[in-house]
Amino acid sequence: MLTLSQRTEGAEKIINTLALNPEDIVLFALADLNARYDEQETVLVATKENLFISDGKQTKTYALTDLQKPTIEEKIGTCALVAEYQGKKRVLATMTNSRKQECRLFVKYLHMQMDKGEITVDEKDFRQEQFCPKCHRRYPDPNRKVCPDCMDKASIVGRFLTLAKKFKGQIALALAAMAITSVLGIVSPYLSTSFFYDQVLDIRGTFYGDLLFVVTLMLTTQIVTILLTMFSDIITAKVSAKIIYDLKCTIFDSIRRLSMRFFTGRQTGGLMTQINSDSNGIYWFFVNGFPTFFSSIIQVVAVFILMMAIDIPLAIVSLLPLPFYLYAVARVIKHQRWLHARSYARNRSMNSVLSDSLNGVRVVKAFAREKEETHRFNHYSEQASEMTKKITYYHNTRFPGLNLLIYLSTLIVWSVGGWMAMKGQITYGTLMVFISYVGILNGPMFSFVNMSDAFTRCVNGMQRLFEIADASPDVLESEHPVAMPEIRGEVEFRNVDFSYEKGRKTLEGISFKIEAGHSLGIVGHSGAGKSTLANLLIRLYDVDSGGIYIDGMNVKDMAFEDLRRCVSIVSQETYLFAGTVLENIAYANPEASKEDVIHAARIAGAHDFIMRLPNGYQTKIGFGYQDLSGGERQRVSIARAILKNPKILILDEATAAMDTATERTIQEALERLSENRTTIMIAHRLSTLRNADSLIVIEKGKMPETGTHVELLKQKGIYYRLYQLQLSALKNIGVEE
Amino acid sequence: MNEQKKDGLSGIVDLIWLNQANASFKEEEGFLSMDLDGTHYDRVLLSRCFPFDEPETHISVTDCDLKELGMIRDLQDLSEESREACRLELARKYFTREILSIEKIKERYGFTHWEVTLASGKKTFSVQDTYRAITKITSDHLLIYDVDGNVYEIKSVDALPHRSYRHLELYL
Repeated sequence: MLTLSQRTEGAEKIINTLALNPEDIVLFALADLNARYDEQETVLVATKENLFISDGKQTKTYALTDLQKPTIEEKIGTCALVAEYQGKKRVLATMTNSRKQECRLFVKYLHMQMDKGEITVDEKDFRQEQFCPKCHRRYPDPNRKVCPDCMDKASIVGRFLTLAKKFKGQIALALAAMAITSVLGIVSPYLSTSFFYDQVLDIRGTFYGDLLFVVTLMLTTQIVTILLTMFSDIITAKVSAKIIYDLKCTIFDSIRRLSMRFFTGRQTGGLMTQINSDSNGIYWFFVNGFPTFFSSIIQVVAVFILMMAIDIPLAIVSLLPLPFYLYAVARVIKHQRWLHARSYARNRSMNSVLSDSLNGVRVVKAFAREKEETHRFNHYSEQASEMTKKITYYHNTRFPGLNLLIYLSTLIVWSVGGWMAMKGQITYGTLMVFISYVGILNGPMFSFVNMSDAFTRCVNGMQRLFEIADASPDVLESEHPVAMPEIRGEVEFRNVDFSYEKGRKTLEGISFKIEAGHSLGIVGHSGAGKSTLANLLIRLYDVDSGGIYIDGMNVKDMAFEDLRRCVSIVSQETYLFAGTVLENIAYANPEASKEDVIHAARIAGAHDFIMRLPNGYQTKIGFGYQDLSGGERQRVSIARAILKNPKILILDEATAAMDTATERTIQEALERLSENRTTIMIAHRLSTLRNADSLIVIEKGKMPETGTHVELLKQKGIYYRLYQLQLSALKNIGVEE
Repeated sequence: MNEQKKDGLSGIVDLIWLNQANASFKEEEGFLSMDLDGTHYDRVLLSRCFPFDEPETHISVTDCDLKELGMIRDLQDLSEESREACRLELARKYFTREILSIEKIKERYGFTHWEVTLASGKKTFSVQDTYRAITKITSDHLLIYDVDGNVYEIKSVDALPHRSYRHLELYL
């Protein structure tokens, strides 16, 4: 039996009511809604003959021989198992999205049972474990196999420390300097109190009257402390920056390797923020958090030992208020953190309103909405300022309270210590050194409380960065790639199936062949899957089944370098890097001569507008520089592809952002260019594709029509209808084809 | 029956308003079927134009290929049987669970783990990126999407128990 969901106690009871022989059950899954959409466990059980769906109160039995096309239909927040039974389509079971994956697998294996009479488990379906193997709890994010409770912090830190290995000498020096500085921080008050009063001012002291000696000693201690602090700070900052630099390089290198699916699953902005903020968090932890914590530990331990060594009863009295103080500090910091998080959220809202309004300033002005926008901004600004006020108020009321607590603990030492000094049990100097040490002990409490939070943030940051570093690309180059330095350009799709998301087929059963040097036009509605074909050919994604062949060689076996060198794509999304026009065109072929760049630009119809730019080909474009129109950007992008001189050229709505006249000019140039090279053209405007050697129509991921322009018109199918529609639309605006 | 006003924008578009005179709906085997002016549609889909402001008005009716067949201006325009069938279909499509109180929100490693009480009882779920996953319909009305894509609703933040509000406040 293939069990796809956990067999809960409730599920077992329901299965028992079915009175089936356990050996007859071949498939089991659990849905969580009943027909009325109330939350209720509903079991899906298949035997070789029947499908049983039962919520314990009502059981429906479907003979597999009468069941057809079971499938999972998605709604908002829920799914339904739908199938045709005895010729009528019906809903068999319903579930929330939490059960979607299990039920989807149920349908897959049910199909297998119905078609082949047996179930063969596909290991790939179970490779992506949804549950933590240690605590068996579900991962909070199925795409991120991290269990927050079982995450091995020690191994993450250990892995980070391997990055620090090459700096171990410098780190050891910095730690030693920190340790000495901490100890000197304790020696200093000792010199200025106990030693000064008992050994220098007291007639019985060893150094009685030797003021110069003690002052020199104090000055030397201070200078050494300052120098060592500077030394350790410089090393820490340098080493941390270098480690973070190494980490960022590793991450960027990993990102470069990763396939498109990784990026489409994440917001690029979020990814950038993640890398930057995580590495900054780690950097500050090691530059600021860890050194303070390390010094604090040494100080606390040393002070504790010294106090105990000087006078045990007074040491105990002095340390008594510490736990209360630690508790108060923890409370205050916890609330303060909460206030800051709240303030951060409110500021983020305010900034997003501000950026929204500024980016849309043309629309705001065009619709005379300035007043409303100001009002909207004021609302968020007021909320943010309210929070700042609260933080200041909290800070100004709680910290004096904490100071009072410190003062009270000092007062205790004054009272008890004073009483002991009067009794002659301790010296005046001892009393003074205790008072100084109580002050020193209070400081590290803040560091201890902050430390746990900073450490958590740092480990989390490391974990996320390592996760990117460890992510394996799902489009991998073959272990033994076939080098194809020269290709003829024959392209064949054989029964290709592909889906961006599991269960939602984007392409299904696509097969076509383009002879070398011929052209193919791809026609279809928006979102039909046309651009996906291009993405698959250059292996931005891999097909789910079937294959794509160039000159008879499966693209999966080709070397990435050869594949991407011989195929060039001009897509509807043009991206220009910050740099000159020349650099942007030569991006695909940096070896190209300047004259070649000019030729490519002329073919792409970009030369004329480039020459109108203030610095010609050396005008800076891209983010923050000269702004180009959509059509101009597309022409630069076409020039880039032309310069690469590929054997296979894909034009994916390459001329969509241009006016008809410019499009015609470029089209003619491209037609000249496409002689002797395989060209795949994807376009909405059918006039663009009329001259293609053959055409295919993509509709809802399938390929219902194929043929030449004339053949497809004769078929009077989808192509014909689209053509008629466009023709009449053009006639309406006075344009004749 | 085509109800077309020839003034304003409504005169420009062809829109069939569905009411009990021209349309009837029925729930069959988990699907909604419709009879419109003598034509039977085995399965039609409903979509609210304004799902939060107007749950029972301005409802678009399409066939399975999402071609619009007409629009219901108000469910009250339909017969009682049709109205109930449509309500059921809408409840299925826009399935959300209302959060009555929040017991705990624990933030760990970029996720928030929620322990809440729904009408059906206690429930725990995880949310990634609260900034995006919590949608404010109004400042008082929230939708929360968990990592699986399930939708939870807080109809009135102000009406939540004070403790629940304290848990939630940070993410508003």
